[in-house]
Order: sequence, then structure tokens, then C-alpha cells
Amino acid sequence: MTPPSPRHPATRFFWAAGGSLLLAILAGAWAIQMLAWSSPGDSIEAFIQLRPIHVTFAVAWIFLAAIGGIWAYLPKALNVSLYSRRLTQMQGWLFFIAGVLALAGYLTGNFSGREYLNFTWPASLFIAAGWGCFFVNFFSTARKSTKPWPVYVWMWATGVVMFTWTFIEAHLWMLPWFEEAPVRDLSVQWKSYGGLTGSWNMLVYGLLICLLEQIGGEGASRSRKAFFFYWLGLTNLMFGYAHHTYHLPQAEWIRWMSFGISMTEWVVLLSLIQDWAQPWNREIWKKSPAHRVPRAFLAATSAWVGINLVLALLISIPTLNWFTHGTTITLAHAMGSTIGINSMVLFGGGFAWMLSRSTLSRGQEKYLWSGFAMTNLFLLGFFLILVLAGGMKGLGMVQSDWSFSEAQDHLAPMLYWAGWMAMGLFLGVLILLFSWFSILSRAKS
Amino acid sequence: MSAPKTPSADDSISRWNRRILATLAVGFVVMSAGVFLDTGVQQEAATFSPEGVTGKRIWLRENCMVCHQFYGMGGYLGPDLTNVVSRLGSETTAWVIRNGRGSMPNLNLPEEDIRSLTIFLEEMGETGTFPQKTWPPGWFPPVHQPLPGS
Ligand code: HEC
Repeated sequence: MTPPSPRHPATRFFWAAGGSLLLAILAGAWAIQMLAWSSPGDSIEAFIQLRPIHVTFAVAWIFLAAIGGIWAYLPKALNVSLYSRRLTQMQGWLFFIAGVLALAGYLTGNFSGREYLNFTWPASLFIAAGWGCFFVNFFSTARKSTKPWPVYVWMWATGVVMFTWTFIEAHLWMLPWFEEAPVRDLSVQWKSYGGLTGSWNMLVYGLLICLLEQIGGEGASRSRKAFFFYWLGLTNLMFGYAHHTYHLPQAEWIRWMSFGISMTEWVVLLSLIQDWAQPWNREIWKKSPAHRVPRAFLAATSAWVGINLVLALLISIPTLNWFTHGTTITLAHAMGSTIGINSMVLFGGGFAWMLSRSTLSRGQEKYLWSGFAMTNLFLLGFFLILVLAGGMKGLGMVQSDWSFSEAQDHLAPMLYWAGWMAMGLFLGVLILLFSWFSILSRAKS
Repeated sequence: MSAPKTPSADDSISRWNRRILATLAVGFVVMSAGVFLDTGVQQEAATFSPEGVTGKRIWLRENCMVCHQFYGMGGYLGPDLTNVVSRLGSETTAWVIRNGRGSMPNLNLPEEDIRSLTIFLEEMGETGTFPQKTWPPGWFPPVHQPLPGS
């Protein structure tokens, strides 16, 4: 047992997550106006710094909020006490130092030059050390449970282990054997990013199922169906990443494996269609009006899961992938799933926990709903324009042999509007973040 | 907390869970080893020359990836550079890196860095072709493709 401390560990992570998201959207808004509104000849050099800041801290938001959610719900769900509060504090500080190192590196022009993990090795070391604390603390806490774990604890455990693997894999390029081989390096790099995304999805989807149980009493987390989808998800995480690398001149079996595994996601889509009306079922809402805020976020999530799944399935079909690869459709895929799915769950989880320790005035609630509506509407607009622009570019490139500048000319009007949508999205998330901070500051520990 | 329905149902799920996770883990390790061993289909372009490796390090240091792609993967602010050298030639490629062009910034790189970068880009281009400009498109992009300019 650890002595009570004034601050619940979840609180710290929720604060850090909010701070990261704020940084990410500021950099993102600044960067997107370059993509959308710059004309040829404008200086876009700041993009070299803005993009890594945006990506790193958006990913940090996802991990930190998911970890906050795990510390908020894991002990309660398993009816055990946290193994060590001190380790959560250490984890927090190590991540904080990593974040400062990464940001300082970006601002002074020190990059690893890699897509998602663009910080240099000192930041990587601190992340690894912080993750080590999390690993030990998570498993030592979960092991205390005498009952079999519900599926979401398995999902969290999987996320914790998979991140460890992919984080190592994503650094293999530092070894000459990988560095010297162009195709091997690209192939391993994108394999590791698939696993990275998969690992945070395990944490986030686990939180989603946990929340459905906690706020809605939908106790399906030990059913065969729940485990079936967990296994299916894990199989996809491990083997279904390669729709990003269909175009690499790599061994044929890798593409076929990935294609085959990706197609199993149709099952997920069918099941979702079967249950699609559930999140909007009025009876459930009436049963627990106190949970309306998290419920709304979860309802939005399920809509976004559907939209993103359709897109992901389509771009995994090789012939369609010819047109979508290397276009803004990939960007739509990333934005739709990180904001529409991941962030909706994380906001829902965070708010559910905070509101169980705080109250919401009418004015604040209205404010929160306006942020919620704006975020979802503008995200939808942004998403659709990116899909449209990407489809056009793909068609132009494959069919009409467009050069880069021809494509730019054709897409300019669409990107212009994408820029406005992104600004609306920025404001929506900003409002949600203000609600996040103000409710968090009043939540009892 | 919802209590387990019957201990036997839970036990059977746990048993299955252990088996499936073990199978997936073994499969994943084997698959990963397979991916690590694959160096691509163009065997003569399987590794960079030492100069190419130097160029690659400069590419990483200068963070060119935020705007550029290889095989369609990377940032979208600039063009895909997979086959840029066979498209423009070494001279012009080096010229663009040296002086910048349009929105491409002049990064004030020393001449030897520009040379290494050009060699790196050239060797990258020998590994395959992107994008595939074929109409109508096929199923998977062909892996054995004539390189542009060859
Ligand atoms: C801030 C974004 C950005 C960065 C960083 C950047 N580029 Fe570019 N680059 C561009 C843009 C935009 C173009 C297209 C210029 C045009 O339309 O004339 C371009 C064009 C090029 C071209 C000519 C491509 C062609 O098909 O005509 C080469 C070669 C090139 N860049 C190499 C590099 C290298 C090497 C680096 C890193 C040292 C780099 N770039 C960094 C934005 C960038």
C-alpha cells in the first residue's frame, strides 16, 4: 500500500495530456496554413520545425491521456490498489524531461529525421525509462487481481508490451545493418509505425470498452465476442500494417499477408453495422443522465469508427491503393482516426473521471457542447475535403501523369477550403481543451 | 463490477486466450524476422555505398522527410523524390538542393553535403519506381519494374 498523496496519478497525466494537445494544435494550425494557403515562393521553412512538434505532441496527448485513463480506472476495475504511486510520479517526470528535450531539439534544429519519432536519442532514452516505470507498475498492479482479467485489461497489457517492441523496432535504423539497406530500412520503419499506432489503439480501445462498462453497465467485457474482437484486432495490429507499403519493392508475401489480414476487418464493420444504433439509444441515455457528456463522446466515436473503417478497408484494396497512396487520403486516414476515434474516447474517458469528482455548471456545459459540435463538424469537413483532394491527385497521377506542380495547381482550391476546415477544428479542440483544464482544476483528488 | 457468469466459461476463455496469444506471438516473431531479412527486389541496389550512407545521414539531419516522400511515404509539401535523379539528372537535382526553388528552401548546405545527398537520392532511385504510371492500374504495383531512364 502506498500512503495517500494529495494528487491522484490520473490528474497529473490528464494535465500533461492537455498541455501536449495544446502545443500540438498550435503547431498544427500554423503548419496547415502553409499547406493550404501558401503560394509558390512563400517561405515554408518553419514547417521543418512545426510538423515534428505537431506530430510528437499529438501522439504524446494520446499516450498521456490513455495512461491517465488507465491509472483512473485500472485499480477500480480490478478492485486492487495501485502498486506504486512513486513510480507513476517517476514516469511522469521522465516523460516530462523527454518532452522538454524533444521540443528543445526541434526549436534548435536537432532532428532524428524520422517521421513519427523525430526527436534525437536522449529524448528516446527518457521515453524508454518512463515506459519502463509504466510497464513495471502496470503489471505489478494488474497481477494483484485474483480474478481473470476483463478484455480491456488484456488490451492494455497488449498495448504496453507492443509499444515496447515497436519502440525498439523504430530505433533499429541506428544499426548499420538497417541503415545501409534502403528497402529494409523503409520496410522496418513503416512496420514499426503500424505497431506503434496499433499499440496506442489497444490502450485507447481498451479504455473505450472499460468506459462502456463503467458508465453504461454494459458488462460484455468478459464475453467470447469481446475476446474474439480483441484477437482479431491484435492480429491486424501485428500483420495488417502493410497497406502503407504496398508500393515498396519488397517481398511479395509481405503484401499478400497484409492484404489478407486487413480484409478481416470487414467482420468488424459488419458487427458495427449490426450494433450501430446502440450508442444513440434513448433508453440508455435516460438511465444515466449524469453520464451524458462521456456518452456523447462515445457516440461520436462509434460514428468515426465506422467512417474510418470504411476508408481503411478501401485503401487496403491494392488497386484502390494505387490512387490513394501518397496523397492526402493518408492524411485523412490519420486525422480521422487520431481525432475522431482516439481523441473522442480520451476526452470521454477524461471527462467521465473528472465529472465524477466535480460538477458542471450550465454555462460550462453549453461551452463544452459547442466545442464538441465544432470539433466533429469541422473534422468531418476536413476529412471529406482531404479524401476528395487525395482521390483527385491519385487519379491525376496514375491516369494523366501529373507532375507535382500540376497536382498542386489542381488541388489548390480544395486545399484552400481544407485550411478553413482545419481552423474550425482548431477552435473546436481549443474550446474542449479549455473545458478540460477548467474541470480538471476543480476535480477533487 | 460484473461478476464472471460461470467459472467454467471464464476458464475456457482464459485457456483459449493463452493459446491464441502464444500462437500470435510466435507468428509475429517469425514474420518480423522475415521482414528484417528482406532487402527488396532489386538485388544490385540492396545496400547503399558509403557515400550514399553519408548522404542518408544528411537527409536525416536536415529533416528533408517533413516535406518529401520516398515511395509515397513522408510529407506532402514537396514532391516524391524516389526517382528524382533519373527524372532531373544529378546536375539539376544538385542545383535544386543548392539554390532552392519555388517553395523549396535554400538550406545553405556545403558542396560536399550536396554531393552526398545527390548520390543518396540516386541510389534510392535504383531500388524501384514510384509512382507507377500505368493505365489501367493492376492489382499490386509490379515489383520488377523497368527503372525510369533505363
Ligand atoms: C519545407 C519543405 C521542404 C524541405 C524541408 C525540403 N524540401 Fe525539397 N522541395 C520542397 C518543395 C515545395 C519542392 C518543389 C519546388 C518547386 O515546386 O519548384 C521541393 C523540391 C525538391 C527537389 C526537386 C524535385 C523535383 O521533382 O523537381 C529536390 C531534389 C529536393 N527538393 C530535395 C530536397 C532535399 C535533399 C532536402 C533536404 C536537404 C529538401 N528537399 C528539403 C520542399 C522542401
